[in-house]
Amino acid sequence: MKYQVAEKGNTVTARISGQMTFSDRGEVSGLSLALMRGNLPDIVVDLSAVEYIDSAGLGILLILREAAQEKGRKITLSGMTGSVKEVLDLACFDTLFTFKP
Amino acid sequence: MPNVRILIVDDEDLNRQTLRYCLEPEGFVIDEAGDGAEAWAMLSGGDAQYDAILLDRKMPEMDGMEVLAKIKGDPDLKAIPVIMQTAMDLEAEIVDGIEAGVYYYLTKPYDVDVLVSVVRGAADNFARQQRLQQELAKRSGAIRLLAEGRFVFMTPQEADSLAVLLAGGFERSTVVAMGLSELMINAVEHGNLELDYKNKSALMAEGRWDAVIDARLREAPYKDRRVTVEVTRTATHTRFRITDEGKGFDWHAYVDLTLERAFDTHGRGIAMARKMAFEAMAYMGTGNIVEVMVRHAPAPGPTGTAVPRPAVALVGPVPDGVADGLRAVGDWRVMTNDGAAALPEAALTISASGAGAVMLRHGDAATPPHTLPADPDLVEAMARAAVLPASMEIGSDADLRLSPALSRYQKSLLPDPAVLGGGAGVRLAAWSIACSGVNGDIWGGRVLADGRLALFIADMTGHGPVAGVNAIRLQALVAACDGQPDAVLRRLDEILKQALPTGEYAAMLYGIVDVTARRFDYAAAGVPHPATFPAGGGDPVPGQGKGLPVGASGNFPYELRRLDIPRGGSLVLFTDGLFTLMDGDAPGAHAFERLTRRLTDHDGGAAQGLAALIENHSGPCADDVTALCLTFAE
Repeated sequence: MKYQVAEKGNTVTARISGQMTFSDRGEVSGLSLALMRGNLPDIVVDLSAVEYIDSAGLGILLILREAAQEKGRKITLSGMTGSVKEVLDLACFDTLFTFKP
Repeated sequence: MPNVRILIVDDEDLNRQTLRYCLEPEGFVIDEAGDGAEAWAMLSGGDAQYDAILLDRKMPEMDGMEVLAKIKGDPDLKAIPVIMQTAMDLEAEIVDGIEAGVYYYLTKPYDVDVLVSVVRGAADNFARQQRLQQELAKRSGAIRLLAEGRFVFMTPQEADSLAVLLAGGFERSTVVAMGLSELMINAVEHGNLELDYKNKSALMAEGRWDAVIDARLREAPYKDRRVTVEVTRTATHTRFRITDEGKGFDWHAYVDLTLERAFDTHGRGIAMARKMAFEAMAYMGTGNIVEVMVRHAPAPGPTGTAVPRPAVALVGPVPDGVADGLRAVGDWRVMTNDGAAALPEAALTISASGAGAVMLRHGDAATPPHTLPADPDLVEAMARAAVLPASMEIGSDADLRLSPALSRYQKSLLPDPAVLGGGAGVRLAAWSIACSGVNGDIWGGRVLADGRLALFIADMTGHGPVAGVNAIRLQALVAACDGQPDAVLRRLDEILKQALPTGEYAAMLYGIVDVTARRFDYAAAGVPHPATFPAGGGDPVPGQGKGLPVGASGNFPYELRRLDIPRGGSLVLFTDGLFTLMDGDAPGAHAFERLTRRLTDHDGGAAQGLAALIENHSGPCADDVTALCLTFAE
């Protein structure tokens, strides 16, 4: 997985691309750091360029969610399509995150 | 240049001579070793202090990788830079080397300029590290009292002295100082002063690098630029944010030492800093901001041990080898009954007949006991996974040593499908395949007192030994749960939320089959839909696998669902690994449809269709696979 972080107004957005799998679990602390450092209240994780996500990839999202909650930030997942959307729906992640098209 | 001493290790006389002829005129002092054993004798003898080691990979007796392993395993020697001589086309060798801590590579035949520049770069880096270490020895660690701070500086010299000051409070202060100084000097040279990496070799070779920096520091617009370092310290870690006022740079190429750049003469500092000094590193914006994190060593415990080891309590008569096995590994504080008053990270209760283990984390008193056979490897694996999961990564020594015992035990937990199905009056077929040594999937079942059959399948996050141990723990938890399927999942969700770290959970399905009524009552937590297949190849009926995985929230309202199974029909349950056996489809509706069509179309029915798919698959699988098929009488 690769990611790019951009800040605009009150929102910090991480655009993730490629696959989010077990082998990416080492990236989570760096990504979390990048999302929290600007102290912006709204966090958006843009999954539109993610091709595939497995259970450990969902785990990465849970870790980001916990980090955001600790700091009182709001976290939104956006841009899911195809198989990634189906996996997130099956796992009822809409009960934990705000989904945005 | 003061005496810079280089050790050349090569079994070819001619190669050693060539290297000597190239390096001596540049002022290096050269020692030679003709094989690995001789090199090791010279290094470990401690008679000479080396500033860099030029190591040939292929040698008789002890080869280069063996010498390298010995160097990296010796606290006095491991900081000496090793320059590996290797063939350009042997990519696997370079990758091995990078992983073993080699940052410098040379190819034969040598280009003299490249050779000199790589050796000088390695030796300079080492000298800087030694200097920082001496500086550090003079400082107090009082900087650790700083909770928050902001520093502003301008020159490379200031960067070095600030790095030493800031690193003073850390356990691994030398590497932290090296890492910070690397990033801070980058911020000056390549950030504020906009000096290009490409020109650096040429200017350094001409001895003009320092002069160019001095000149720029006095010129507009560079002279007004500063580097800011912001420090935030919390109980567990310290963050450093380094910001320069330059145009930034494309940092992507520098955060890892890649195969493509293994032979560059410089530009590996960022990758070395990242790998050696910091738990996390992130470049931001255009590359003019970098943030890094250093984790603190745990505070000294009441007994005065500098770094407390994870505590394992042994309760009861301890079988031979269990306690010794744990102590021998060295990173455990083994407590017996008496010492077990404080809550340990893991407790192993030992029954009279052998070993038994209870896995506890702090705050995880809810996990019920789990009795294990008296196998020291198994007990150690379970304890490690509970307390030091990082030490059980796939491919680690502990993984290789302990996984066979884990895997054996895991397989022994699976019920015999023929017996289980026979007990309830149906035919059960089951498959469970691990994609690495230990399975992160598990399934189980039992015949309840009223004759109904309880079944579950589960898929723990990830793969390998830690996922495998979690699957074993889950199996014990499920065995201890009674009641309706939705209530069972709610209870498991609550327990796993406490017992597992965030990001780890189980996708699972638990259900109860009433064979007489041909009815399956179940609850699901994020698994592929279960499905029923009528006898003779009619359309399958899917259930619903939707649900938050157990352990993800701790309070998810699982629903009770029902599937009716036609006379002579089958019920199929599986984990998403099964999709990976069918090429080309990511998990989802399309893959599900392809799979059910395949099972419907199979002449032998769903059970034989599954058998054909799973048993005929050759080669490694990408994910652990579990599938159950329950077939009812006509």
